[in-house]
Amino acid sequence: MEIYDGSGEPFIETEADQAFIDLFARLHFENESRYEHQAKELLRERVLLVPIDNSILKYWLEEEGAAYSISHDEGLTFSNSLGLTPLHWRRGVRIRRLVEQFAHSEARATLEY
Amino acid sequence: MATNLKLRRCPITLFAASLAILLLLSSTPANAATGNPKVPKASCRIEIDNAHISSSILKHRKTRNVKINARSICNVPQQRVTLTVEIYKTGILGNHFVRRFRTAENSPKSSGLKVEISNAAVECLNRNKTNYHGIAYAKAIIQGKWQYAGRTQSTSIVPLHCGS
Repeated sequence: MEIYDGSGEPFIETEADQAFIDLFARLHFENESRYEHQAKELLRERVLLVPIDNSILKYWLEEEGAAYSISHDEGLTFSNSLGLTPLHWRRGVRIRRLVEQFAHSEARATLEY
Repeated sequence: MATNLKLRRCPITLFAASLAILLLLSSTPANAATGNPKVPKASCRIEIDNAHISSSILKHRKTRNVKINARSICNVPQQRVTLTVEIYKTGILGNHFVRRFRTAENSPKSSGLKVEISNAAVECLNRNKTNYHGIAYAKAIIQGKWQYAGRTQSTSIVPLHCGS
């Protein structure tokens, strides 16, 4: 699907991109409450493991912010760090950004995208 | 000057990182030593687009997101590509880091002639006008050796109605 997104160039959105965005949107909507709890736990404990289907997502706090990686072999090995969200100075924004990252990372893990 | 001319013609940034990889590979003695004319000279580059409001996410999620796509492209297979995209906003006090996205090194999707990131998006908090740009860099195994591509910046810093 060709989309004109205002960048001055058409962007070809693949089926995989569409599937990812659909799932990301659904996860964000359906699990917002759980993600908020996770965000608070991550900020408190500094490390968080979340099993999703056949994957395990590992989140941790580091100097620059909150990072994550994914394991597809029951935690034997984890990927390299796949994303990082800086921790905003306002707590509300900090939680909102972490919620976004939880939905994003779970969509990635589910689709292996 | 030559670089500037090239950039003006090209809608996306291709410069330092691709040049670095080209220089590295062309100076690699392996091809010359074997004398095998069938081994292609690797030509690789990183492309990073300008920041934009994602129309696809707007359509699916009904939220505004600033999005930057990037890709690592080679004429020979690249393996275990770790392509990183960082989104920045520009303020009075300089660049402000917004988010980092990275491909999984061991994923099957991180190998091939083209490896891309097309999910690097951050939700807007409000409609305040904010200047955005992206920076991409990568490492990969190309022709059996680890190669590193330095930081490549979007061609333009784009003002978007997307506070973050």
